Amino acid sequence: MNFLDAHKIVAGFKGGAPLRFLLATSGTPDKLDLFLRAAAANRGFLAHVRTLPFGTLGQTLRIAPVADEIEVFCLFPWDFIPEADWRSGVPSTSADEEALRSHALATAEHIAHRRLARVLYVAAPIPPLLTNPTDGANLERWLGSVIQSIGARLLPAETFSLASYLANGSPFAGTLLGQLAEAVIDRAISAPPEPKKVLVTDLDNVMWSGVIGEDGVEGIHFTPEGVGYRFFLYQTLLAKLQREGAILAAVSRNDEDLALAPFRAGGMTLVENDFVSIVASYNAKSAQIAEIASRLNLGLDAFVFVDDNPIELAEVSSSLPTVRCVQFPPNDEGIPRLFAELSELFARATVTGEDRERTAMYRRRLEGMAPSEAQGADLTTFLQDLGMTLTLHDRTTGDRARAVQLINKTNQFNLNGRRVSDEEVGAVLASGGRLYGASLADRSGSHGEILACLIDEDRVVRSLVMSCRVFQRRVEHAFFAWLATQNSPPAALDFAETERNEPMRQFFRDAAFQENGLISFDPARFAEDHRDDMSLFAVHEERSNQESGTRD
Amino acid sequence: MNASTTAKLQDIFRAVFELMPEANVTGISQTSQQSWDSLAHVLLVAAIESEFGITLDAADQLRMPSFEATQLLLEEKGL
Repeated sequence: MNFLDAHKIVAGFKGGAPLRFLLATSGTPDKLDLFLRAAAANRGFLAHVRTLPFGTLGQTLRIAPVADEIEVFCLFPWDFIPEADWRSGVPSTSADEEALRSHALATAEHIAHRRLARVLYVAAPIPPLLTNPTDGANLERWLGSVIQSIGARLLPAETFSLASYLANGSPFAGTLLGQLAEAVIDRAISAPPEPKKVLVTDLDNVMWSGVIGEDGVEGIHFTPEGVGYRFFLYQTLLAKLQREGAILAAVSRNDEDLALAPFRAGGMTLVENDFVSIVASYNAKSAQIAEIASRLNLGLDAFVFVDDNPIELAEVSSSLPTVRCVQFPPNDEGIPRLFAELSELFARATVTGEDRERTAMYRRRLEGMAPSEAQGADLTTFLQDLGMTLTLHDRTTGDRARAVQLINKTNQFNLNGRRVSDEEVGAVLASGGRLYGASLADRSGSHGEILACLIDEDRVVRSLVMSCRVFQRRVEHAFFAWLATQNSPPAALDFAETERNEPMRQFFRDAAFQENGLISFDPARFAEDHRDDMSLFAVHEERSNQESGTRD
Repeated sequence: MNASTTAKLQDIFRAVFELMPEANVTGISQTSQQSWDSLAHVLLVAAIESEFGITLDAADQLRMPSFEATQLLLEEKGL
């Protein structure tokens, strides 16, 4: 979108729903105004953009946001490291790298605490600040990972124009104003970030005061007195978050028996079973976290890592940039802020029974997880031995809260990534659609309701999601084989590729699916091809009129 | 500068200074156009950069006191 296109769009726009937000940037934003209004108009919105006076971003970050105001931050390296601002010239002395990093982390933390903040980051070049150019390059890379860890979307370096910045204080390249405005509006209308799922915590000097390998069980402190008090408080916060659906895990550079000793000695608020996994090894913390993510089959962007050691945080931040890294404070004064940040990251509008049971369910999943080398016949035997029961729920009438929740929080096995309101689901059902759910249990216990499928009156599947904690169990195949034998099975699926739904794409490689706009579905062929998958489950049908039946 | 580029430049001037579609802009300058203040100059530069995919540095921007001078500058840049 060039200038004259933008002008024409705005001139011809008849008006739409108001889109109010703050565009927070340290430079002069005036020349973006027309492009923002055009980008909003293209999406049917009438933009009302509040901007900041030149050079007041730092002050803004230190005062509370305006209530319920969406904030789109468009940031540059010098917003985190003021010494890197081209308009100030190259510093006369080589900068203190530790001080630069500390200031950058503090700024990132200020932004992370703002509930409705969405961040765009332009990785513009910076002047040389450090004596060694290699250190400078490392600093830039580190800064990029810190900024990504607060959920920033990166924009190309060409979005910055030094000529414009020097001439009039506007850092934005005139040639890319259209693309920049599109990105800003995308962020302004994007859904708020999803709550994090997994809190990975360090142990020594985070879970307790002291180093277990040196001080022993008798020498560490975690009770509500003296030096142990804030560690006791931290454990009570983690217990609360776990009750509300957060999954706890721990990593420690230690021997396993040492790391587990305080839990097994008793007396702590948290016990071993409150954690889905406690990984103790001498591998890098990033490798330990990656192993947990792999075993839980969860994306790293769902992870928060808490450690007291800035070096460990930097290592994780650098290797796993989408993990949100949070420092455990070195003194009591930092505790309220830490608690506020973690509570915000894991905030949920409602807490369901599924949320409360999540850690236990994931523990069962790890216990029942197929060895990675299991293939073919071995995998089938493994699955058969699990003694799985699949319960199909007809949610067309009655309670559908869990099904709607699943549709709105599942990313990987998700047909199209579209979120739906309860009212929208109700409208599909009122028009003759159907809603199914499925629960899974096995010899280790219940995994809860793990699948939801919304089919409209034209037999098109509009939503299909399955929890990633039951991957590799052929649940989706069994469900579709069952669906294929129902009256009026679906004829097609409304698929859309998203950044995260690769498992869905893999599922559609089955020969019964053909892509022709929608994904067409051949029920007879699928049912025939997947009889073996059905045989892995005892299938129990729970109909909406409370009738039920079982078949093996 | 060909006719199409000239027409686009005229449209840019009309849009930035909020003039009627038929307004003749070939004679306007910072002294004749009251609304041509420093902010309008920034917007004009951005509009030209966006529309023609070029970058104008501080020295270039000082050489744009009128439509005629701007047209000459752009011709020097190969437009």
